[in-house]
Amino acid sequence: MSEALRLTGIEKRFGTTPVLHGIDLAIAQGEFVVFVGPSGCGKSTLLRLIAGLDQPSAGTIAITGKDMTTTPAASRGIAMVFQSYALYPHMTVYANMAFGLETQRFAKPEIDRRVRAAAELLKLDQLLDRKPKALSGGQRQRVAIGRAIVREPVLFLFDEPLSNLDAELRVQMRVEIARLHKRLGVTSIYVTHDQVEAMTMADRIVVLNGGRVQQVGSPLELYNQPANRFVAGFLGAPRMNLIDGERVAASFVAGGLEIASSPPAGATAIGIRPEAITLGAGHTLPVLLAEQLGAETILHLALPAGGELVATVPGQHRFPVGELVPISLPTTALHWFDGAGVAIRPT
Amino acid sequence: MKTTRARLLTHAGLALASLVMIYPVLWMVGSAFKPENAIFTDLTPIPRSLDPVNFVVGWNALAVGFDRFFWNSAVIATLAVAGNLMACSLAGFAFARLEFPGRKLCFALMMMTLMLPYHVTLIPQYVLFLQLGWVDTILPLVVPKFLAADAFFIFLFVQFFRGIPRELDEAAVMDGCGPWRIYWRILLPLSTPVMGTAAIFTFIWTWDDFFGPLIYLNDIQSYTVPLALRTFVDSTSQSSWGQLFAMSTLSLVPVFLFFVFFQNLIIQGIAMSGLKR
Ligand SMILES: Nc1ncnc2c1ncn2[C@@H]1O[C@H](COP(=O)(O)OP(=O)(O)OP(=O)(O)O)[C@@H](O)[C@H]1O
Ligand SMILES: [Mg+2]
Repeated sequence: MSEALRLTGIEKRFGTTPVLHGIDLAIAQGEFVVFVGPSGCGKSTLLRLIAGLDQPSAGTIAITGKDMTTTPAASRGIAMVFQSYALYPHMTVYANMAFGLETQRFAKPEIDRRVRAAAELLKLDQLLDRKPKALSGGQRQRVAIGRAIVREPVLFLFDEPLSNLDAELRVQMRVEIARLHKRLGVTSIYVTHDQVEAMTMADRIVVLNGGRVQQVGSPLELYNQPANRFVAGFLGAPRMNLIDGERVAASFVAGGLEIASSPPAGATAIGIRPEAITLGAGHTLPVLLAEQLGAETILHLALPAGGELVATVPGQHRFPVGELVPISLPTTALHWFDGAGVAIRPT
Repeated sequence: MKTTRARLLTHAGLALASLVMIYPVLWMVGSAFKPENAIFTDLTPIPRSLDPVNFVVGWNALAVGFDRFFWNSAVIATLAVAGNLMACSLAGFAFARLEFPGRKLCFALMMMTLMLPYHVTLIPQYVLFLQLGWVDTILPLVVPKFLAADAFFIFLFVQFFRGIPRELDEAAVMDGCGPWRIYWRILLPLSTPVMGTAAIFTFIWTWDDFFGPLIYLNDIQSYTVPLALRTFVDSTSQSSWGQLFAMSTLSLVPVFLFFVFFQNLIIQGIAMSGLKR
């Protein structure tokens, strides 16, 4: 598989404020890559650098093997879908989609062919003469995607395209975008801070924090083997329990519980996903709160040393507050972290 | 909740105030139809008859017909509007969207020219145009408009452009547009409200301008309407007040039409673009 995009040592400063600190990343042809991270971590900034709307302070950007660090945006073969859609309000849906092709002096029949094909694909055929203000949120979103498609780009960029839609429509558009990607096979980079979107849509996820790549991998890789405490806490809902502890004699004690008997060297914290905790034999902890979701129950339990432990157990359980619940933390499901927060992998 | 009585009183007060404001105009229009001896004796704005004799005689009362004056005024006002729309929108675009060295300083300097009284620059300007050999032509009245000399309108455009989301520009950049095409295809079509405003004010100010033409135009052939109206007062006997009012009334018609036409444009512009602000 050939390479669609390669970032090498990308840095970005605004004035003297560094925002991105050396990003290295390679994306293969046809991949759907999702950038996730908390607000302000530099996702949009990175995307704008790739698009060519902004210049990196250092580093190079290669697209389909060619260095395009200083190439103007329109010549990179990239299309971008903006969070606010950025449809031209004074143009019809048709004109919105045709505008880029007209600017690049495509022949009229070719423009017409591409716009109509995209409109059909996105079920916009009936709306071509409307102005954007006469469209619903989902339709506007589709026009924005259509405008990107007609350019037949080598790379699609999406910056939080669904964040202005309501929950139901978001799920629907998520499926539609994923289907579109399957159908067109164009390499895509999708920015979101919704981890459900990240987990469901991505071939690979890039987790960013504070302008650094924390981990790159498939959704399940990241879920099962987070590289550090940040990734461990960021993906998964409810969040992974992260509890500081220490070695006491031969065993590891965290939050006042004796967790395991032979901790790896250098471990200073453990992590365990709420859904990995099971009811029955082991520790007994008092219930702080039990949230009933129907299919499962989320238990908030008090740790002896303070703090809480969250456990998700299947089925419906009515635990009154204060009741002692027996739980066990399977050692195979434990994640170990060292003093720097980096995961310790079993060797 | 106000009582009906209080509301009636408010409305009556406002109606009275409006009447006071508009009375001079009505009186002028009315006097245009009155015989000379009735103008200063009869203060009701409503004439006895609609006798158009003042209009007919007044039109050709001066050495040059009013068709000539209206034409001169129209040429100057049209060129001024075209110049201001073009130059001020471009300058506004540069300040609002382009990055260039000294942008902030230039903007500050431009804003300071707003505070310079007209009279301060009057003499130097006159000397400048005299040396260029432009006095006695319409060039001093028109050329500056094409050079974005009206800081007020530039500021108007800058403010308006700043209100248009930058993502639109960025989408256009992705679509392959350079600054010119962004200006022409994206920002200008979305700017009809501010263009309408700038057009109306430029037109009214230029059409009504007395001082500029007075200084730069000496030949009666190139007089504008306000200059011609002045001529009525000092060149003829007091028997031509009716004609003066008749011609003054006519001079308001273009301003009125222009306002009505472009006011519609402003409203349409807001509705069409779907830009809410
Ligand atoms: N033009 C700019 N000038 C100065 N600072 C900027 C500029 N653009 C972004 N920043 C800063 O860079 C950092 C990263 O911004 P960015 O928009 O990339 O975050 P993000 O990850 O997209 O966040 P969000 O999820 O909220 O969209 C922020 O701290 C922001 O304040
Ligand atoms: Mg962002």
